[in-house]
Amino acid sequence: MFKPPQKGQYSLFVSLKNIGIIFIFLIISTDGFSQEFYKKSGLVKGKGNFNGMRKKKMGSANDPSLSSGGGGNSKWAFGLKGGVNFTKIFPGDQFSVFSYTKPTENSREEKQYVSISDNKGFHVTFIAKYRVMGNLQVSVQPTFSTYKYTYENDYAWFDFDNTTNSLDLTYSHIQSLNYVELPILIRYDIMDFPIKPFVQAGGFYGRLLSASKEVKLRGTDYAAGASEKADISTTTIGVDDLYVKSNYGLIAGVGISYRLGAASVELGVDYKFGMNDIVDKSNRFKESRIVSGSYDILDDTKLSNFLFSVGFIFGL
Amino acid sequence: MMMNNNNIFYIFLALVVGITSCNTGEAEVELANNFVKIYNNEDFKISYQPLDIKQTKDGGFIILGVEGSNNTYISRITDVGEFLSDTVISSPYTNPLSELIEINDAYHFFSMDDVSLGLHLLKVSLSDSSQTPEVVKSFPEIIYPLHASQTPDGGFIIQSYNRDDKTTVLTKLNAGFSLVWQEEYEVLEDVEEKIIAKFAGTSERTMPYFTGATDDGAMYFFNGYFNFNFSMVFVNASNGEMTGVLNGLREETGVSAAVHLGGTSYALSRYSFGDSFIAPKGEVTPQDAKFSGEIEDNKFSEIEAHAVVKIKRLVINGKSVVVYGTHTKSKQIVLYLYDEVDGVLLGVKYFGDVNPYEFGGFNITGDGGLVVLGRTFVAGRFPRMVVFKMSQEDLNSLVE
Repeated sequence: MFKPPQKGQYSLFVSLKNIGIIFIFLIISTDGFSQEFYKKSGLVKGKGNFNGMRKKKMGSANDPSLSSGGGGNSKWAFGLKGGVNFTKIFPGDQFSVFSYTKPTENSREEKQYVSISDNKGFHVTFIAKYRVMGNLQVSVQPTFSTYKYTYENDYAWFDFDNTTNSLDLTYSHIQSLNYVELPILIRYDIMDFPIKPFVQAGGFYGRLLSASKEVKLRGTDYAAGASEKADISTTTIGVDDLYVKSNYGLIAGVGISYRLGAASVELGVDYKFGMNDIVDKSNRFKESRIVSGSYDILDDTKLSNFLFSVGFIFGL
Repeated sequence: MMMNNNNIFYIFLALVVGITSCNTGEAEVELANNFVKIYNNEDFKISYQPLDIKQTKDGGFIILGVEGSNNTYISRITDVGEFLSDTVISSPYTNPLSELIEINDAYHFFSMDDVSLGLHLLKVSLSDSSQTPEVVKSFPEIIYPLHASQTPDGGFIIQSYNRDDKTTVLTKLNAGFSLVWQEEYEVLEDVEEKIIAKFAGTSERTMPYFTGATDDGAMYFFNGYFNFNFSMVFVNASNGEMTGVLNGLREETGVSAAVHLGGTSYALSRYSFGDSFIAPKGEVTPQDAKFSGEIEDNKFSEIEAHAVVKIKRLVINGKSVVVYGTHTKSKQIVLYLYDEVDGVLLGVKYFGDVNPYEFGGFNITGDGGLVVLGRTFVAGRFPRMVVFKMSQEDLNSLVE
């Protein structure tokens, strides 16, 4: 019977450390490959033309269009980008601390996840790009991201002999998750116009730095004479233990870049699709203040995010 | 270094696969091992009082409680705590006594007839989807029943009050529910009004009535009114003859729960003028008359005055443990776990936070975990049943 690895364990091949080693190897090897290629193709000093067609396709090493994104002609380019993101939740198995002993008009046990437009976070990214060949680049983009997502639960109690004697409560649960992520992308510049559209795709691995939950309680206590919904309390709690440390998945995006001298400006939108359940099942019921105090138990949750970014890239 | 495009692609692919196959660090957890469930409904006026919870053979649970002021309430939940069904039994089978007793795959409990004040033994069959209890036997001669428990020989002892004679009555039934003996113990004053207040749910506090037996079944004991005080009385199991007493002081000082550990050792809790005390290995000689305040114990200031206390002997992680269940002044349910051998505190576990939580009962489960029944006030005001289920791993960690 398959036994899942224990918390904190990683297979030898896929550990972060190994990923780093592999990436360094990739950079070294592609650099060596490229120099070898250009030497053979005669595109570098001291060698004749290897192939006219290829020369035309590949262009010159001094051709600015071959820059990795900056205005220079190096294979390397670095930069920063940042922006806002919007989080969409894909809940799996759903949980509630309540089990109803009598039918209710509305499902009180299910969470109502708010619209993606209300789940706004931000991110800051360092970009390192390497031009492999032509318009094809490999990019690693260490990122600090804050993702937010919100859901609500509505509860009500009625005096069935006097229906104006009732209580409505709404619990809003706002989760903030801070990750450091390592996306690795292949990027392709579609055209070499001054404004270059590009597409990119790859994978990412994120480590949770911290997580917090803000619980806002609002309600209308008709039984006490209230007629309008009022804020009752707001509580913020650290909930690091409710989430697993890892978040990984696939990423794809499109954008445009515009050269400004030695730099270029990029605008882009990426979609990240988380592939793992980020909720720690072993701790789901153990955060007493959340479960007993705010009547909340996290659903199985996969994150997906739309990231809108603006960045500046400088070639070496 | 010579590499072709395919190499780069494969290396990149390896990176993506590597990243996406990273272990998530999450442990697979069976839901039934751990859960918290509050059994809510939208009725503004309704209230519930928990009494006992037992695990059924299908892994689910059956709960005994009180709905409103004195209606008998039975509910069933699944192994993961989801509500299945409930039944409210109103007049005449009201005021259920404190525990569920399993006999031949059916769950039995005693309740009072609110018209005749007599006693009924009722049975809930799990095969009956309606869960309507049926009366197994009625005991009209036992009035004002206060507590009942099963004895080591499979019989029962029942504590009741005789308003005519102003006596506490102990009745011994055999496993076939037939009368073996009945004995009366002088209260020497009229306490009927207090007992009516208990049944009507109008008393400010619930007195800790209980019955029990020693390990070998040679002695029985009850906690109730005796000789002007609320005291723990020891009797001979063969005929009900009183042998000794652990005296209280009126209703202000006395024992709140007790379990025999062997010989003259008892795990006890007691109260005195609002303070609570725990004696995990108290020395009591059933042949003596002694004041409960003389027992060597520890003061627990955090326990709420007059809170329900229940004590059970359990085997946890291979160790004999005495577990006390009650709730605190801050309205959290709490379990204290003591080593049965030396009376050393092994662990403490709290349940509930922010909103009020009160203790009802607890039991070991088939998977080696623990289930705790309680009451919470949802939104601070609606009394509802709550069940906490602990996994074996979490329970074991308390006594390591």
